[in-house]
Amino acid sequence: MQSLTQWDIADGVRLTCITTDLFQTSAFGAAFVMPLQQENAAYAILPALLYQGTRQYPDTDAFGTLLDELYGARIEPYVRKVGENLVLGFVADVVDAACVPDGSTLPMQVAELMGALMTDPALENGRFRTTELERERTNLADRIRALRNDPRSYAVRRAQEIMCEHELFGRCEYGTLEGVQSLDGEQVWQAYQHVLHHAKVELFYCGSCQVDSLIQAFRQALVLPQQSTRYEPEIDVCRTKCRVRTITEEMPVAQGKLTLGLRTGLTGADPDYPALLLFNIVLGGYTGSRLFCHVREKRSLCYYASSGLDKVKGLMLISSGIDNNKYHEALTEIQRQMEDLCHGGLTQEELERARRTASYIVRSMQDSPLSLERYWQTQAILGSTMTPEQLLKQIAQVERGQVMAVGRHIDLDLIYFMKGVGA
Amino acid sequence: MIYQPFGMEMRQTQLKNGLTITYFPKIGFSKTFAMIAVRYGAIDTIFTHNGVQYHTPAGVAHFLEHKMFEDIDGNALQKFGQTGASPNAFTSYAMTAYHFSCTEQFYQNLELLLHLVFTPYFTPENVKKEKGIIAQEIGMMEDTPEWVTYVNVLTGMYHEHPLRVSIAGSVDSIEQITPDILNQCYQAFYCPANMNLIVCGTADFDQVVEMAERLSPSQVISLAISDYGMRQDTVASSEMLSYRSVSQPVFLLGLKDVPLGQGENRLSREMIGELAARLLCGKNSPLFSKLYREGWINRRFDTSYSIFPQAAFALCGGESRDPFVVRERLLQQVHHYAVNGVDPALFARMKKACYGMMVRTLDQPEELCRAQAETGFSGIDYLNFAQLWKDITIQDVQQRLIEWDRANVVTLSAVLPTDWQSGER
Repeated sequence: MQSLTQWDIADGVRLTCITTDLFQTSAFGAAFVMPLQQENAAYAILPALLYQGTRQYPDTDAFGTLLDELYGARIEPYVRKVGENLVLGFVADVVDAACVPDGSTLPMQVAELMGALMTDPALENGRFRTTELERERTNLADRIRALRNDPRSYAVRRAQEIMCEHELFGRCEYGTLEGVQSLDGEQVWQAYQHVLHHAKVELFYCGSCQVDSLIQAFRQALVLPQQSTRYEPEIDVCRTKCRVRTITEEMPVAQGKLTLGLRTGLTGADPDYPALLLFNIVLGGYTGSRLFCHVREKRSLCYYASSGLDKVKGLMLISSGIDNNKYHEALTEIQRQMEDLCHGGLTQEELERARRTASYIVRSMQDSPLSLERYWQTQAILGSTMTPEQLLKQIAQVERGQVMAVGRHIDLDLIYFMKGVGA
Repeated sequence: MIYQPFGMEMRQTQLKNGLTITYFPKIGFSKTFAMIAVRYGAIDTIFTHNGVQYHTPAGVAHFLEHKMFEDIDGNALQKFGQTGASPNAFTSYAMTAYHFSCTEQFYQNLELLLHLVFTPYFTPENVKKEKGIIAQEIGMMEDTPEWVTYVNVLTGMYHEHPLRVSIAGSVDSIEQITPDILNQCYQAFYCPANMNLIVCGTADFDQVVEMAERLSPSQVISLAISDYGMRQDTVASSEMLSYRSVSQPVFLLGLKDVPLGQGENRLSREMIGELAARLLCGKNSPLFSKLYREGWINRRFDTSYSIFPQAAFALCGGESRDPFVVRERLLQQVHHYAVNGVDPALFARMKKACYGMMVRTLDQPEELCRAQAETGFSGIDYLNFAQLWKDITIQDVQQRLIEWDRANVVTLSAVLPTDWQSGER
């Protein structure tokens, strides 16, 4: 049994709790939600910097010792871009309280630690410590440079950047190299103050512990300025009807990456979202999909070809890894499959298979505490309280005509080819 | 059987044909996961079967994995898709595994899984077509620096052991693969006695057993014996460097350990090895903290420990502005622990953390089944870990560090930025 409760534990601070005794693992999330900026460097550095120590555990040695003592609890800092929002925070997992003899206080200890990481950092003269700031600045710059190292994910990132170059979504959540290099201590401190005063705070817990003691632990550890106005996430689904652009860039790798960027105009909070979800699955969301069967299996045009949705920004990305000389063939085939689906080619049987796959994807998410963390964070930003069960019910009701209609409203915006020019 | 202290149940039986079946009930879970693991992987390229010795091209196990999904009436991937199940497979150095997870029609999917593993169907056409797909896969792997460092660290550590060859083989080696070769390998290794069927979720154990009995071949077939070459204690080369357009060096340091001894418990060794590696340079170790503070490594740095037939090793690595410095510091620390021993307080807290990590794998059906398949082939039940864990001593851990401190047992594999080639740093 899983039961969901949501609590506003302070102004602009919300806790989403899934109470369950299903797992040996409990998961936690604690994040500041901000609007994405033109330059995100001063914010993006914060999670790693805060992770360097709290007032009580001022360095990573003390902090690491404590994590080990909590049965190897893991707390990881992260920076995420969710639609046009910048999410800065920590995700944690720990053995569930019920699984170890002295476990009853484990969840509260982790909650306290997360609160302290966010609002009670180790400081020097009332500012972040210089050596640490310096080091995390270097790490952040390295992180930005390293984005190119994985061609598969970089191709998708580049496509989104080009597609949304005039929207905030096109900005990198880690900031730019120039932005990172010019950061100084005062800027970072001001950014942190801004976050403390104005960011929305989203907390998450999934585990067997009673909610009351957890709320208390979070309340105690999260020391936020009083009477400040907190951000409410905004959704901007841009539907610019522009001409399809075709852009080719060269990369010193062997395999080419063909990526198509499309605008769906729909978010996860839209009534048509379940139909879009099904369209995406039929097209490229599983091993029975059009892209998998036709582009990969029947025609051997690629090693992978799949499609995915950004349910906050309303985008669909089709990505494939191909031989450089198969560009035209692969592109034609992908577009032909899209066309066919939208204009009568979608069969009822195909739809039913996709429905079963969708049901599998949504239901199996409920077996993983960390997947639930991601799901509920996105829901929070969308301002949607739709549970996985409610989504399942809607998926069950979608009709073939709706799926095709949704497909016809998807606009191709960008054809991006990352051409491999030798490793 | 119920395993304490976490109260998890496991049921197990072995069929007359030798197939071992294991079931982990997960009451309340939405999905059920099933895996058939074959004790046949990329390292089984030279083997003797029914008195004949075979030398097969690199990459056959992985090729076979791709081809098993194909049947006379189409591709099994799509058949699983009809019920909304999510099928997949992987080939490691020592194992090939086929699996699916689903939230409905479990028995229908289990039937598909059993059918696919026991029904080979290779034709010259479908073999030729697969070469194109796998060549693309190889191309993609070669573009991934982490994968390149992994393949190279094994090539560096081993002289003759087939671990030194990449799992998928090369575009040239897979070119030599024919339906005949696939058949020979299938006959040699895909027999029930060389397999484990493992299920995790909500299923009826008796029905699983009944189906496996009905859908697996009843005859007992003779098993092939693999040849892994002459063993050597030292590494083949201490440095494996390659150059690519990476933003900063990506590296792995391989610490070659002695293989599992006769009668040595595989699961214990695995836990001890993991623990020794974490203690040496895991994220909460003193050395990690120092190297991080000094800016030599970032949080992508990680450690692992692996055991294969006639081989075992620890790996640590990630990204660094200078992997050569990291190597020096790591080896100093290995030597320090080997000579002076390990701080008991450090050992105690890391041991506790390791336990917590293992308990959490019980929530991940795929991880749990994979771990059970690996230990199961050595005759050990994974859920025994809690019992074995208690007995791990500080001396056990130090013994591993002593092995890693021997002369010439370390390989540094690194993918360096192209401009390092001309001597610039």
